[in-house]
Amino acid sequence: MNRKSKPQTVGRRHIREDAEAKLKGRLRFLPDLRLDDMLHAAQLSSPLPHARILSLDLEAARALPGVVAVLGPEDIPGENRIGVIIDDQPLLAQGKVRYVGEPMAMVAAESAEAARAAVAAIGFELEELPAIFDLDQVEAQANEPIHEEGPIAVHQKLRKGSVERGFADADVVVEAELVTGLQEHYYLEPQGCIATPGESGGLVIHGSLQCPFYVQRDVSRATGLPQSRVRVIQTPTGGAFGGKEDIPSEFCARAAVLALATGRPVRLLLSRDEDFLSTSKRHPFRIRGRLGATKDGRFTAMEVYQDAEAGAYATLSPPVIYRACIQGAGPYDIPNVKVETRAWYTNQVPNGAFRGFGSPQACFGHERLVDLMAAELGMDPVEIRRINLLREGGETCTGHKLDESVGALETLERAAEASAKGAAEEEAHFEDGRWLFGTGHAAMIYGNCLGKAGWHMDGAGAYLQLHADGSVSCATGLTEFGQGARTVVQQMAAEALGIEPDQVSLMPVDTALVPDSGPTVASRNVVMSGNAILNAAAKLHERLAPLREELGDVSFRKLAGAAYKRNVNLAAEGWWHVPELDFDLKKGRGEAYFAYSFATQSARVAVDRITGNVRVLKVWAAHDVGCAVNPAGVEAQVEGGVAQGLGWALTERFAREGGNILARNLSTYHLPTAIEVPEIETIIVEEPHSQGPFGAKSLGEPVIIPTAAAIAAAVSEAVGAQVSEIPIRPEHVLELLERGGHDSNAL
Amino acid sequence: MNYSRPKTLGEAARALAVSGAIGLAGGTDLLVHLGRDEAWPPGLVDLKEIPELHGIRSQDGIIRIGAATPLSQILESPAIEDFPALGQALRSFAGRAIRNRATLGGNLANASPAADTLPPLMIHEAVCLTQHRRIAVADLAVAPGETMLRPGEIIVSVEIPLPPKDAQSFFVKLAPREAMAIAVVNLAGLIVQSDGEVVLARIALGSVAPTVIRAKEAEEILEGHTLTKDAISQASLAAAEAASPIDDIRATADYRRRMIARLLNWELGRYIPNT
Repeated sequence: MNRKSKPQTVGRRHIREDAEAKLKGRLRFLPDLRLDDMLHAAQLSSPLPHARILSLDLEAARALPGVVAVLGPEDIPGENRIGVIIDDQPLLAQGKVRYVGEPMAMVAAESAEAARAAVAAIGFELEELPAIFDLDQVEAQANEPIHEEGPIAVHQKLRKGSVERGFADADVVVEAELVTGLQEHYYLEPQGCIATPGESGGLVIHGSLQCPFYVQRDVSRATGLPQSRVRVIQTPTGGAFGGKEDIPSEFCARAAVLALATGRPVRLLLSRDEDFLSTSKRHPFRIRGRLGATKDGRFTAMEVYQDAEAGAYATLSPPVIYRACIQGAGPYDIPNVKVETRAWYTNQVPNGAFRGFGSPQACFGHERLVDLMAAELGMDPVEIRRINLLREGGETCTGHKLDESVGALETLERAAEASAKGAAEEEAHFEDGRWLFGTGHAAMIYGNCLGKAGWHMDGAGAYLQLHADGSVSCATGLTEFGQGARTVVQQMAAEALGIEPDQVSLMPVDTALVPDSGPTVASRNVVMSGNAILNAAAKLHERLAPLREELGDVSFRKLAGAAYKRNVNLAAEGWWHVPELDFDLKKGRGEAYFAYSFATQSARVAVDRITGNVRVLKVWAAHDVGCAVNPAGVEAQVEGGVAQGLGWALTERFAREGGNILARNLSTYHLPTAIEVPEIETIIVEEPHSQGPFGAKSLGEPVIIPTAAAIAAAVSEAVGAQVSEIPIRPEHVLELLERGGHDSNAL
Repeated sequence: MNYSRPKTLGEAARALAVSGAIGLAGGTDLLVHLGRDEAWPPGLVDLKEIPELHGIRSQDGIIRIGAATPLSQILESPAIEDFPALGQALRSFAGRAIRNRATLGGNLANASPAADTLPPLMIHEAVCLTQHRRIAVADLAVAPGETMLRPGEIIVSVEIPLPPKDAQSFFVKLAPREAMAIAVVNLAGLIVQSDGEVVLARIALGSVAPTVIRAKEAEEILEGHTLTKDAISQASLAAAEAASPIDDIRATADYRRRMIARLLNWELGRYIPNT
């Protein structure tokens, strides 16, 4: 292939490299794997939300047939601790249980039935303690604190200018109290892993997971083995959405301890119900906010207080709170901003990472305030956003001056234009008088990668092995779990070397083969892997340069063959880390992230005046992605994210009673089906960033962030009153209809 | 557990007479619960190979549907055209994959208060035929999940009389989503008008009481009178009054009651004669 006629694979539509195996059902997920001599694990879960553990008796369970090991907290060879950031969580409860479903002991047995029988035979005594179930009760924790350290797990502040001055300068001030609900990830296969003792005293872990290096570290911590003796292999992972970020570390660590104790492979696989009842959810938020503006619609101050429910342990509340706070006032250029975000402990399943990390909640907050202000001023919601959105040279709410790659306004203009044109189509289908229609818009800002709070792990690597025939093996440490990332990585590697993507083979993610690249979270895969690949490719190009000069205009294949024969080092290692950020964590001032993605989504809805039901007719999603490496992949991400956002906004009502979760599977937790998900029009905006590979920025999370806010805005427009809760329950809509003067009793 | 697949009604009845044995048709409800929140029964008697339980026949103004006939097969039958409310209920029943397996007899024997086929069958005063007797569909369920069937008694078929020619009927299902969802409220109605007067009114309400119920008071308000906005409004409120809904994971009792009145009001309003 000729260097001059470069294939330019970046920017072309590509079919996903994993599509065929998935469509034909050939891919083997973790529940399909069985190893010889494999034992089955089960866990004893706390039946109470908050209790002192008075006794734990494992002997009767150990005596049962088929039972190989029954272990309690004392039997963990390493530390009885897990957790990425705050050290507040045991691997097996010790002294106290803090939520219903918290593991207290574990079993390995010859069959799943024997394991369950052993769990049932474990004796224990609990002394129930007063419990805290939701944000209404968190202030009361003084009586019997969930943790000695106090009721607040995380607290983040952001200060810019003076909100007092800003509100004094305002002609109009609006305020709101808003609520957002829990959400379940509902990845395809439940949490699961197999831990196998290795020949040299180490362990091999197969698991459905996002972050193999997190697992490696937590398994090492629980077992006492050095990290180098723990090999983690990611099995095909059918969606994760943050739910397989830190959570698999717990299960892998427990399976690992059981495998070491028994000397046999141990599989720990949750049923769907167990998974639903005991693993992390999206943090519910309470948001109180005020927005001030001049008569002509320019924002003078925004003040936002966000209270989030952390659940029983901090897990990933810190990054959720950091992001929610930093993005709490949205993609606007506002001189005076105050945001205060806290995560409170409750006796519930710990809430954790979920696509967006607090951003959808934050976006619902600032976008509702903006719509309230537009209504108050009698201004078009698009116009008020047009006036205030960030532009090049503008300053974010943390005072980060943006010199490049600010596509916010273009996303607004294009979503608004498209939604204005396409809105009328479906309305003829609805019966006269019964339905009300509305269009709403929501804009968002998304800081790329981990930001200042996670900067210490925001580096990533890539290995490229150029073969004598000009093809390439590529290993990166970030994972595929449905995003289409591997296809994009393949394209970027091909582009970097000037070859076709089918000449690039990707290695499976195995900690023994790929560089530790930190966690696959924060929509960082494309940016991080892409830059690491470019770094490695530059080294290869440099080594090939003399030969290229000597041989002239030959194909890459010939060049590679010639290089091979001359013993040129054709294995290159690349690395990239996020540039240093000048940011004050205490005040929330400065460069919170190195780059930002922007988006505006518009939604058109029909509201049933009789039932309060909402149908979304169409969503237009305009996303500034810097560079759409695979436009087909961008569309797929947008469609998935919008569907998930729609579920959170409308159908996914998460029922709890005290410390118990009532919904537990698809018959009681209503994910939207293909009928609820409307046509979604993706509008790609490309404002390249100089630090992004080929200009690319993050996309995986932005796609869900504005959806619920846009739907809420559309419903508000339709009913003539402002939505204040997510999910938007029909009962709430009926109240709003009445408030908006559209009561259907007259119908 | 003993699984059997009898070919005759007699064999099936004997297998079912074993204590704790359960009949299996489509299994779309039973198999979901067994092994999850219910223990496997001592015997599972698969009824799908009994010939009498299959087929759709039309004779003397009566449609007879075999109890083990899959719902999608009923939907494809031309006979359904005479029962638009039943057709509507079947189309809103779960999703296609489940309709391909679920059976009419199974939906009846399951005795769910939210069963989608029950309100339309009740407005047509359909009857179940067992080996021994005829049971009005309205009488079959006695409590959530419980029927008046005796041990060994099998629903063989369901007979639905053809409605009067000028009957108008409807079915509405309100659920948390459009498919694959259990109803918050489902209701069916049938109206016959003659010379500006309602001569027949039947209303059945699902998911708002321990069993699917007929709203007789509402029917009486309509019958013998002209269908007016006022009459409809009174009848709708009477229907809501007849319900005894509960709060559950899908909706509150209050919302359910309000929805009965509002949905009936809207649906019946379509049949007000043009003046």
